Amino acid sequence: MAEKFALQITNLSVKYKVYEGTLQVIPGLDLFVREGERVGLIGETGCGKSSILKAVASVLPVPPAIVSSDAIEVFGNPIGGRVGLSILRKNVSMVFQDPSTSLNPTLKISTQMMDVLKARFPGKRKSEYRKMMRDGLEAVSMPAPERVLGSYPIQLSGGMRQRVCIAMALIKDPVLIIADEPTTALDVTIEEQILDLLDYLVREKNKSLILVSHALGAVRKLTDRVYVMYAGNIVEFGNTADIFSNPKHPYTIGLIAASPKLTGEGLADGIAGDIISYINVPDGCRFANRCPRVSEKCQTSTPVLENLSPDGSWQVSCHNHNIEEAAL
Amino acid sequence: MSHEEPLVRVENLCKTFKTNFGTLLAVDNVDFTINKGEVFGLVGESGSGKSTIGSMLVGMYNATSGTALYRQEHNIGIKHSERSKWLKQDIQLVFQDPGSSLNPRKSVRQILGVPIDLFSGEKLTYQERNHRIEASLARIGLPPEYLDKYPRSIGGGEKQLICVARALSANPSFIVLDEPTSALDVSIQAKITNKLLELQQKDNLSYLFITHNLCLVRNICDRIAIMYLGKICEMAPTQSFFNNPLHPYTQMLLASIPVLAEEEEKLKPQRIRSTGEIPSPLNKPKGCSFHPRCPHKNDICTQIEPQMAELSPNHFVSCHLLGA
Repeated sequence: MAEKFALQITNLSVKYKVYEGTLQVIPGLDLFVREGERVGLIGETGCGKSSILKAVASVLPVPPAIVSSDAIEVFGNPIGGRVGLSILRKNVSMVFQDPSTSLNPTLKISTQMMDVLKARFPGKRKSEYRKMMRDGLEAVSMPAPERVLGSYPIQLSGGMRQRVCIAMALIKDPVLIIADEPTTALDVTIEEQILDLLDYLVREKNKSLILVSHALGAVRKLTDRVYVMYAGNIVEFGNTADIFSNPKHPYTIGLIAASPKLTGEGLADGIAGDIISYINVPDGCRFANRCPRVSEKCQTSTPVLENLSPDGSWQVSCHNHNIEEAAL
Repeated sequence: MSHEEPLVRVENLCKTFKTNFGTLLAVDNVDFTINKGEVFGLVGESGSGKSTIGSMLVGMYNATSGTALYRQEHNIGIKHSERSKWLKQDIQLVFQDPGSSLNPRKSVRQILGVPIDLFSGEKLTYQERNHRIEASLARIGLPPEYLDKYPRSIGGGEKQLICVARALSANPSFIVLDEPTSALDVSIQAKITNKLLELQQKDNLSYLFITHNLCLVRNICDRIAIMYLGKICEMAPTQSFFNNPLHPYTQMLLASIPVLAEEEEKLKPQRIRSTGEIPSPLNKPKGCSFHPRCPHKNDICTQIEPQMAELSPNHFVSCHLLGA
C-alpha cells in the first residue's frame, strides 16, 4: 500500500497474570491510523482502551502484563527496544484525562515544559527554550503565557491545566497525538473550547490524532474514523458519519440508543447485563451475554471482522449484523 | 397541572462557607419550588452551588439565611441532627459515586437493613425484617441473590440501584439525586434513569435531580433550573426551556453540547462560542456574575445584579437584556 500509516498495530494481545488467573483482556487486535487522520476509539469502562494505549506507549508493567504483537509501528518503524523507544518518544505525545494529576504539583509549568524540550531538542540556549515555551502556550490560546510559565499547576484552573498539557504534547512536534479522555474531567463549556482547540491544532499542523473517549458526542465532533471496542475486541470500525448514522453492530446500536438526546424522545433501555469476566472468557462472541440478537452460532464461534463496504473501510464483527431491526 | 401542591419551597436561600481566603458565597439568594410528584432538574457547571443546595435540603448543612419549607410547615433549613425523625425519613439522598457510598465491609442485606431498623418504628421479627429487605430489593428489580453479596462483587450499575433501594426502603416522598448516573457508563445510565422514573411514577415521588448533563435532563425532568455561580439564571418547564432558551449562559451551555446526530444539531441555539471560564466564587464579578463571558453585555450588566423576571408563564430569567 502506498498510504503512510502514522501508527499500525497488528495482532496485539495483552494479558494480565493476577491471583485469580490470567485476564485475557485483548485477544488479538489490529488498528491503524493514517497520516493526518483523526481516529476515535470508543468503549466503556473496562473494555481495554487504556491497555492498548499503554501497550503502544510501552508503559505497561511487565509482569503482571504479558504483551505480544506481530508489529506495532510508528511511521513504519517498529517500536520496542532502545531504538524503537526513542522513535516513540520523538513522534508520539499523550494527553491524559485528568490534567490535575498528570502535571507535577511541585514543579513550575516552565520547568516541566523545559524537560520536554531539553529531551527533544537538546543543546539550545535557555532564551530559545523560553521562546519555544511561550509560543507553545500561545498556540493553545493561553492568556498571559509568561504568567502561566511561572505558575504551579495548582494556581491554574482545570481548563488552563488541560491547555498546558496539550501545549506540552505539541511542543515536541510529534506526528501522532494520543488523547485519552481529554475532556472527561472538564465542564461542558470548557470541554467545547478544548475540543475546538484540538480540532484546530490537529488540522492546522497536520498531525494524526487518536481520541479515546466514552463521550460519543466528542468523538463524533472531532474524528474522521471510529473504532468501537467491546471487551478487548474491535467490534466495528468505519467512517464516523457512517457509524453514527447507521451503526451495524448491536453493541454500537445499543450504545447510541442509550445516550440521552437533545430531541428528547425519551431514553432507550440501555444494554442489559455486565461486561464479561476476563478470567473465564466464554467461547464465541464476547458480547453474546448482553446481545439482543444472540443466536446459537454466537455461543460457539467467535465472529471476525467482515467487510461492509467493498474497500474494507467499514467492517463489523457480528454473525447477525444482517438481520433487520424489524425481524427482532 | 394547574393546581400544584408545593412540596419544597425555597426562598432567598443563602449559604456561605468560611475559607482561608475569605467568605465563599456558594448559594446566593435562590428561590424555587418543587411540586409534589415532580422531577426538578438542577443543572450547572462545577462550582455553581447545585450540590450545596441538595446537601442543604437533606440536612448536611444548615442554611446561612433564607427559608426552606417542606410541605409548607416544616423548616428544612436546619441540620440533620435537629430534624424530627419523620423529616429525616421523608427526605432521602442518592450520591454520585456508588462505589464510595456503600460500606465495603457490609453485605447488601446489612446495608438495606439500616433504614428499616431506623425508621420502621415498630419491633420487627427476624422474618418480617428479612421480608422487608427482600421487598426493597425486589422493588428495584434485583433478584434476592444479591442480598448476601458485598459491594466489591457487584457491578457499578447494580451498586447504584442498591443505593436507590436503600433510599427507598426508608419510604420517603422526596429524594435528592446528586448526579446519580455521572459515574456510570452510558449503557447503564439509561437503565438506572428509566428505573428511577418508573419508581417515581409508581409511588408519586418527587425528585431533585442534580446533574450537569443537559441531554439527560431533557429526557426526564418536568422543570429545570440552571445555576451559575450560586444563582439561578433561568428556570422553566422543560419544553419551554428547550424550545426557547433565553439566558445567554443557557444558550452557551446548550450550544456547547457535543451531540450525536444532525437533527440534534439543528435544535441547538444559534452558535454562541463558549469563551472564558467560570470565575472563582471567592472572587465574583460585580453586577451580573456572567458578564465577563457574556457576548451581549452592556454597561448595566457590569454594575447592577439582575433580578428574576417571569418572561412567559413559569419561565423565569435573570438577565438585564431580557427584562421587560
